[in-house]
Amino acid sequence: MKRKENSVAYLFLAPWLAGLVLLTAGPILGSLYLSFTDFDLLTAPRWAGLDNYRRFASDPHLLNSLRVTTVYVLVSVPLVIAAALVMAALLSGGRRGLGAYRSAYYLPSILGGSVAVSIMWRQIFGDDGLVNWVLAKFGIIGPSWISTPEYAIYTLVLLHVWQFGSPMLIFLAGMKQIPQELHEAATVDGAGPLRRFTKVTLPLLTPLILFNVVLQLINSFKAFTPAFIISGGTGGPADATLFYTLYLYQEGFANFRMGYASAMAWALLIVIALSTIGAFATSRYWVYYADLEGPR
Amino acid sequence: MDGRLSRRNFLSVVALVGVSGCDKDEPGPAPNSGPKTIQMSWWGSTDRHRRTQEALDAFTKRHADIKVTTQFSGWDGYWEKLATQTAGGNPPDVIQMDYSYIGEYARRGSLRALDDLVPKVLNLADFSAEALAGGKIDNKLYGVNAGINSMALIANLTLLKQTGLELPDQTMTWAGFADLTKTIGTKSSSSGVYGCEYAAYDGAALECWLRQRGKELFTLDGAIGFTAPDLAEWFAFWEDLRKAKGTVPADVQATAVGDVQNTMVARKKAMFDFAHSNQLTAYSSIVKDELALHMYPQGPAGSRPGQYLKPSQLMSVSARTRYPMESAKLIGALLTDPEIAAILGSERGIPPSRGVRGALKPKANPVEQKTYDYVESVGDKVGGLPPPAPLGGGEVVNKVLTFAGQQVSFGKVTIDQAVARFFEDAATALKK
Repeated sequence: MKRKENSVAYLFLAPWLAGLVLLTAGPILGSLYLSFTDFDLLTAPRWAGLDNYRRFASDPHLLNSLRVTTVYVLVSVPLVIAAALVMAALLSGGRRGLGAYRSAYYLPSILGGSVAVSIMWRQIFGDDGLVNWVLAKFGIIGPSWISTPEYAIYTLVLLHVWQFGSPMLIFLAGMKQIPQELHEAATVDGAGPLRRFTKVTLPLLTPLILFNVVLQLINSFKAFTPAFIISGGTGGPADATLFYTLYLYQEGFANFRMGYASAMAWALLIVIALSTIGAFATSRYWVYYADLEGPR
Repeated sequence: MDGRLSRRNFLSVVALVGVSGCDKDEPGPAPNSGPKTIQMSWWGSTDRHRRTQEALDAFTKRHADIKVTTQFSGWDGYWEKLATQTAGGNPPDVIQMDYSYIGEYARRGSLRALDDLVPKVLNLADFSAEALAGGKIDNKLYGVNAGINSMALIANLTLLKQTGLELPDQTMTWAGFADLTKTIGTKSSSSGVYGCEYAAYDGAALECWLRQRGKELFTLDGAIGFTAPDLAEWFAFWEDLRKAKGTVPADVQATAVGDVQNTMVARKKAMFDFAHSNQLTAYSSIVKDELALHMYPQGPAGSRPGQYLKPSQLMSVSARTRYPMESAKLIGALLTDPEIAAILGSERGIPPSRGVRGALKPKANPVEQKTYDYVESVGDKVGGLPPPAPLGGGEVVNKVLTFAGQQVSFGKVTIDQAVARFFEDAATALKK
């Protein structure tokens, strides 16, 4: 009887399982195999052992792409979290018309990953773009922000920070969960709004901050579209926006080194896993769970 | 599924086999009874997309049994997508190829040699031997020349006149060109218009300059055909121009990625671009000023010809196609049928078929006329076709050179460092 029930369950699960095995697990294992081969896409892969992994250390473009990606992650993640927190705090009250504001601030999150917005960004920060048009009104001749090595990466950071909507919504929901009596008690004790935010709201939100940090970390490491569109697929100028994922894509699909690209993908998985573990490991020092007593 | 055939299935299989048995032309497995669908892919400007769609409509109107699906984009992303589709076993049937990639695809077995279909399906009798040579790899025809072009400076005559300057004649040397662009820079860089694009990392410009000194981008056996001092001198030439405001600044040049609409002349940032003759059509659809074609600058007296007549694109057939006949038929129609080829005009270059060329030239509009005149006028000033790029050659020209040139123009490294890096990266790219 039991066995029969199970098999019925598996029958219903079958479409999903088939999808997982064929569309997800298959390619994942395939890429693991390819990462140990020399594969040019057009002819059959040849076993190459650890050659691809050995090449990492001597590939200056790879080291540069790691540097670019690290800067992007380290600058944009804290800024996104901060922007989301501040906006959530401002929009958490009960005033009228807030719904419209919330939607307006959430909108970039829906649009932000899209190709159209990246193209718009290219226009805004280009040499004849909106930013330079405004600067010119003040007599300043701005550079082409997207194609100057020093600034290009920060236009991408800005694009990411602009999409603070998703973490903001999560913070908003979290703020609603904070018991009103805690705020009231703090007010009675003479705490102003800023103090209540830092001493009541913020500590109680730390689990959500952790959650958002982890999500943002993973997303930032994986970021691809903005750099691809804004640099015209080149990662330029002079590799300034060559994200790790963009370099991986170039190596695999443009330079016919799919084996190397597969090895890069597995290395990225390990980097993301380590950073996530790192974020969780530090959490015991700064994350409060209301049902426990203080940081564990 | 039980493996048995029902009676109805059995009958339809028999019927199919019967049909294919009758169809003597049809190699390979018999398709179903519907129209044969072939996919064609190309890159290009909006103008090319419109013309090609129209030409394909005219083709399918005549061949009711063939349906053509399309896939088009700019140059960016085209090769990535093609490589992915090829690896996935579903490449387009008819592929617009570039001379810098055809060797790579043909030698890796991804293209179908067309020799057995000539002339029965694909009649190329009125193509000159030189026009066909560009599509031959190891003596087999892997691509049909879709248009003849040659390197050409695109010059904005209107802006030149406004600056009080004239277009020099075809004997202009690199030194003369440098003086001209510097003069333009002095006169009009304050209003944001410079002499020339920063072409230090333009593969064609470098190739022409090298050939004038008797060298090539790649040797016959696929190695880099020039030395570090050559490249250093080339970069130094452009740095001198950039610093004297003869060329656009580095950050402006770095926005010129992708297709014609982002180039410096199309955006009126410069009066000269290093381009190819067929691109005049695309430029003219964007810039309303009067444009002209001019040869790339010449080397000092006694130099060899730098330019050559080149297939601007080639039409190839995938090795995996189910319909080689229909694909070849489509290529034939696009390039040799006067009515269909007329729709394409000279946007892809001068039609290589003498018949088509003769029919189109009298009807050419003024812009196309300039293209015809230019290609004819350079005919006796060009050298032979260089060997096809080796495996990894496309990467060297399109990526490695760009990186080195940008590093130099942004002052990130010295010229010598960039040159050293170029040769290291090129060695990696060519080691396949």
